[in-house]
Amino acid sequence: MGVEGLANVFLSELKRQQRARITGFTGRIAITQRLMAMGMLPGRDVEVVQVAPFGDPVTVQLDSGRVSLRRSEASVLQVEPA
Amino acid sequence: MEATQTSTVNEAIGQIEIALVGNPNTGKTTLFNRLTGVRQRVGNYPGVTVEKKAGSTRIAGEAMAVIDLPGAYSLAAASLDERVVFDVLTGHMAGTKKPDVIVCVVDAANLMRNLFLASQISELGLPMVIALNMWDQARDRNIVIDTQLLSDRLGVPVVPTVAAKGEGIEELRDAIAHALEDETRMVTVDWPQPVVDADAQFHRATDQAYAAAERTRFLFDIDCCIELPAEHRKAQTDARQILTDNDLDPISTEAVLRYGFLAEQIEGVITHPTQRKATTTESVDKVLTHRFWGLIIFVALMWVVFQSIYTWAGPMMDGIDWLFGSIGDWAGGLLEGSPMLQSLVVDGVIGGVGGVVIFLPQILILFLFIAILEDSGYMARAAFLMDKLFSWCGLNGKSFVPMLSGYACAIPGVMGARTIEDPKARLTTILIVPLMSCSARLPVYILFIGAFVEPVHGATIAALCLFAMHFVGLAVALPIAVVMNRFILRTKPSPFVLEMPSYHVPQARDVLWRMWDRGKEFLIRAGTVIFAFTIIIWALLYFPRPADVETRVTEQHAVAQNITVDELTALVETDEDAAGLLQHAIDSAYMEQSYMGRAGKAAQPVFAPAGFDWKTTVGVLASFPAREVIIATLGITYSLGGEEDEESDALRDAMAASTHPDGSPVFTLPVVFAVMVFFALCSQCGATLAVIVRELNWRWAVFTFVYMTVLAWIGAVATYQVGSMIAA
Ligand SMILES: Nc1nc2c(ncn2[C@@H]2O[C@H](COP(=O)(O)OP(=O)(O)O)[C@@H](O)[C@H]2O)c(=O)[nH]1
Repeated sequence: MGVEGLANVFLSELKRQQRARITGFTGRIAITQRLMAMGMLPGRDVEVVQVAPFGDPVTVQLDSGRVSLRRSEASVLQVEPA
Repeated sequence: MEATQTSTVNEAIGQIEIALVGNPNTGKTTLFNRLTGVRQRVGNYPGVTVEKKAGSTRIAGEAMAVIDLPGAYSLAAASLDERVVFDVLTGHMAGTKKPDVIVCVVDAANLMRNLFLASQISELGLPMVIALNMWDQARDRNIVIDTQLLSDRLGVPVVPTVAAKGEGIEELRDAIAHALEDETRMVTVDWPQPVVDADAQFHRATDQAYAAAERTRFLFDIDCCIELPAEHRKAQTDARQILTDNDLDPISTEAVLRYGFLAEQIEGVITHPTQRKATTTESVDKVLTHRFWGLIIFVALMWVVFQSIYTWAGPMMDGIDWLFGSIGDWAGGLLEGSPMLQSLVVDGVIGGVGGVVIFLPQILILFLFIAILEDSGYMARAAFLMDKLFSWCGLNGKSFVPMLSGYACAIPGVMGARTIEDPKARLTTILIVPLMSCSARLPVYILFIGAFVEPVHGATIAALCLFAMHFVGLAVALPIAVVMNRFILRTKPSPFVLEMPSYHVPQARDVLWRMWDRGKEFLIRAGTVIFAFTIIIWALLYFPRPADVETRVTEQHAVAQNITVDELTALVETDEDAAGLLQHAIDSAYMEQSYMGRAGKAAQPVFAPAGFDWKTTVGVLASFPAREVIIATLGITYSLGGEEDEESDALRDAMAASTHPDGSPVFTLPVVFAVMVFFALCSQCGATLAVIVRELNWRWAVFTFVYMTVLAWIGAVATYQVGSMIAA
């Protein structure tokens, strides 16, 4: 479940108001499973809606709810920016 | 025989047990309060610091027990809270019965994600009811849910509720009765063949040791929270191999398949508005989490919280002080004839109870604010704003409020750390909160700075010193947190994945209830320990009380004034000042003779490298139960009586004039700062330790005491030695 051909982009690298589609995952398994349990699955769309004043964490808009996570955790999800 | 008897008794009182489960922030606690009213109690699960809320309710004329389980996103327990949920639901939690029926509280505005947990729970095979809470919010957002269809699809009763307004509670009771009677169970996921095979294989290979819900966890959770016995590891690897062989990645299989299944179930059940308009929460968030305005508002709010604990609690605390003082005077008058009983009752018992109750205003005020901040949804935003400042040392954004309250008093601060879900961050926060410069340290700074810094260096430098003393603890605390995290607490870190709940107007009833609950708990649990401490310390300061002290001091006094003892006795009868002086000298001698005084003298060599003389050492030792008594203790040791306060000129003069036997002054600037640094860092508060025992366990309380005291000693010695070098 990688990104075809493209250089990998991670959720942690998105800027504010940037949208993207989740394409895969890599890295710490416990966090990956947690994020997926909260609905961050491959194929879903996400948008970074807030960045905390000191640059971290970020808040991500999912289908319904908003979830805030540290960049170090967001880096487990590979995305394809829209 | 005995065993049978107990079990029959248990059977007899064994009520039907209802468990409330759900994601955090779905209104579970509010619903619990509606169901149980005041018939509830709060305790802890054995061995863990997770709160257990239990109560009772009447359903179909029968009394039933209700427990409110902690919020959980998944049974793949990533946090201690979730582990407790898993253990209770599978019947593996000591002291808690496996529930007979589950009420799954679901946020109607966030249906699919909330059903994920419900679907995991369905595998437990227990009767279930779904409460579609926040129904009003879903309606406001034009989300329409066909509850009948949902109920038909899932096979369990589905009841819309608005817990905050008490709507749907009666229907929920009926549904629970119905679920119990018809044993309504929720549909389980239709796993594809490879998963079924893998599960069957694991089931066989482990001799059917595990129930379905447990097998799911072993199969899918790579980093499983439940310990799998070594002999079953191979079965696990083999089962996962079946998944991999069929192109199913064990990491993502559960989430992908379960969400896929749920999507089918809610197809046609829920209609979202075609045009998604920004919710109120999103608009409010634009301001409250703004990088500039968000911070300004945060600082302003925290200022209000701090001011109210620090300042507003003052009059109430003075009132309590006055009240117990008056009761003490009154009781003291009654017991005039028997000095020991009088001292025990006045200083020990009444002083002890007063010393517990005095903390109540600050605790109540802090929990008033915490309840408002949490229920409104702001706490998550505060954690979001502050996280970066704390994450580097193993704390998280939620550590801010407890640490801030620590500046007023460590006790509400330690209790306030309950808002932190991550057990490691919570533990670290509790361990460093007592280092924050609480208001009881202020009198010490004022006394010493006022007596030794201000007269020599002026008011500006004095103010700067006072300010700087407030940062000593904080400056030490953060590196300590890093060390604890790296080297002492070797548990794995929890992810900081925080849902941003919608904003709500907090319900006065729930807020007040929480405040009251905390206050009561403090009085009952921590209060008893604090009280016991006080009595022990009283005894150490009172006994052994040799009979000759009084005659000896009186003789010395008479010799010093060139009169006979009889003349002095006569003088004391008529002259109140003379009587006072004599009494203070006697008190001072008793203090020196007490076990505490002897210990102080014996311990003096330990504190010599920090420049403390024996009087200071006795003061330091006597202040271990409560640092603020240093002032009164110094007053007594300097024969001024215990009523001196930090502004007292007599005490300042006496200390400034006090000399070592060789005539050099006791309190040079290096000594003054060494004493203040010692007080800044030392664990001199029995009440805080008692609360840590209650919040964690006694081992961590001992640890806190030892690390802070060692730190204080090192700090004081370093200050004195370096200070002396500079001064020389
Ligand atoms: N609008 C609305 N708010 C609710 C409802 N139920 C609870 N709340 C509010 O949601 C917030 C969180 O509730 P709480 O019971 O603490 O959630 P828990 O974390 O699941 O225990 C509180 O401010 C409640 O007053 C509801 O049905 N509708």
